[in-house]
Amino acid sequence: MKKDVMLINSLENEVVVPDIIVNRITDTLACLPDTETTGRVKRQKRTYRNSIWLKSLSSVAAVFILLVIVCISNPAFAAKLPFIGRIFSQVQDDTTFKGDFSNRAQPLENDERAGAEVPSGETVQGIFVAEDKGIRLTASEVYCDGVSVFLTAQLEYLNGDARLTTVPSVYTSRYSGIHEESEEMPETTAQMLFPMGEWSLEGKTERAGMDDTVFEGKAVDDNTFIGMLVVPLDMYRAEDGVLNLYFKMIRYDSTEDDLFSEEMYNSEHRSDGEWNLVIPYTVDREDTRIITVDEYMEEGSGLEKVLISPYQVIVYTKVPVSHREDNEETRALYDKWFSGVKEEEFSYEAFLAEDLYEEEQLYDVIVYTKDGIPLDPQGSFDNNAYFSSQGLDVSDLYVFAKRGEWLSMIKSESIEDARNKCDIEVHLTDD
Amino acid sequence: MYDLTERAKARDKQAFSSLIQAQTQSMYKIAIAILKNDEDAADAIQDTILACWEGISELRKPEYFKTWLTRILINNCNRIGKQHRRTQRYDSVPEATIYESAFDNLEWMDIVGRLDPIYAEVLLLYYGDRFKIREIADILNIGESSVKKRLVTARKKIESFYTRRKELRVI
Repeated sequence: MKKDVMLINSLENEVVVPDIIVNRITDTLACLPDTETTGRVKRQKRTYRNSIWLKSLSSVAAVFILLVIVCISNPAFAAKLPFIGRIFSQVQDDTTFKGDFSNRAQPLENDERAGAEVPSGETVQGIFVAEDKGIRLTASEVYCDGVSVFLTAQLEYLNGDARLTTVPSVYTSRYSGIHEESEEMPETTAQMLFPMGEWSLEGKTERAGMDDTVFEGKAVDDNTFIGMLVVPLDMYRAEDGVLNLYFKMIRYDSTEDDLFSEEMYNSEHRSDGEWNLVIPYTVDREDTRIITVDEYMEEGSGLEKVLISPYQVIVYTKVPVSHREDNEETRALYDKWFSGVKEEEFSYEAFLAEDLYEEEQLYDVIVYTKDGIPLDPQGSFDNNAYFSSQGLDVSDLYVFAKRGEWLSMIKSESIEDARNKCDIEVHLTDD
Repeated sequence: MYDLTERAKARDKQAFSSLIQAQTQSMYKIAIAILKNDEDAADAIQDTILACWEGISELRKPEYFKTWLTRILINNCNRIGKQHRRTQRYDSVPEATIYESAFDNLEWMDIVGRLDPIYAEVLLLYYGDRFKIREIADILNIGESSVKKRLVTARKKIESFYTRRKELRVI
């Protein structure tokens, strides 16, 4: 039996629990208070851990885009939406993908972007407003760098029954614990809402699920939220396109939640409904560069290319892959590992098609600016490392990669430190 | 366990203690996978026990006790982990493979310790504690498909840990 299978099987085996744990449990149980405490338990701030490593990195690139079209032609309606057209400026310094969007983002205006041509030749009318179950979504501005669509929007609870000012703030930078906070590496926070649904690119992709999307921003009042959504596309898309969003649920947490109540367990701040939007987008081909690196180790793994946009840097690594053989042992393994999963959700064929890596899967990667500032890592998926550009000058970058030692490069303290530890170094400049 | 939970809800300390001690293995595995060291794990478990004792009379469905306990534990682990990241320079954070006690299953700890906590969590909850996908989604507050994706990714990472390294090229 392969070692990794043995390990999986061993997860349910008992381990020796150290004395410090046993004693702490014993002591705590011996000192349980006799009386019930009164009052609500205040919810702690929590680190943003919502699949940050997987955030926006779905293999089908399906994060949800919050598109809301405001009827700009109706002045009275527009007057009720003072943030529309300038939400980026309100939130761009605090969200995960920071930077100045003001001279790149396009306002969504019905008269200018009423329609967009799709591959079939048909013109698709944009839909920027969606309203259901007492919630209205209004899209504001959009920007696309070819791999992600950055969309701002306003969310309103029309019945006045929300408590959006009590939504917890979470960290949107990963520097805490890695580097000291500084002007170039700020420790930022934002409030977050959690939508779920599906997406597709008109005429280009099938519908795919959106699970890890977050709506980062701030509550204007208890019933109004403005923020940014980042939707990763399935691949680099050089052509303009139309993004369809099909939201089915919107949820938020509250610092007033009673952790021990059934309502908390069942998420009382959840709204199920239907909010479908259509957003035409234009790809920024001018400010986004894809640099072919092709720096490989002897066995064929290495750095393939780097994408640099004003708001993110993506380092694409390459590792030789193999696939499972279709035999009885593989079938038994599939049956064991996926006993609780339906065939249509993850089939045996998909299991056979999974990439297996001959070497350790991930290159640990860090990117530095020429001034020695490390870019904020956003995690890795499918062997590609993602970083927020955080408004820094990314015209001159150093990329360092080391195979097999998770966090070894992210822990580096300087360019020199990273250089001493890495397996591959690449210097990317505009020159 | 149902009877114990009902008695614990009625503020029976002995029943509550039995419930908690029955979860010692599970709590320890999850806490160490996230926090990587015994001291923090002990703190997280202590906070969890106290929080559960404080709120157990509010638990409406006794059959959800373990799920409820696990969710509180993971929240406490994340909180403690975040606090430490705020106050420590990174070079003082233990390496992923450091653990402070001797275990029979050192390799298990080594591998789980090297995984990003979001992967270690789902592995332990699914294979160690035998929670269903839906239950894990509730505990971690994520979608079911996210749970499945993380399971797949976690297994791929573990597989890769066992592949033979080749000599690295020196720059």
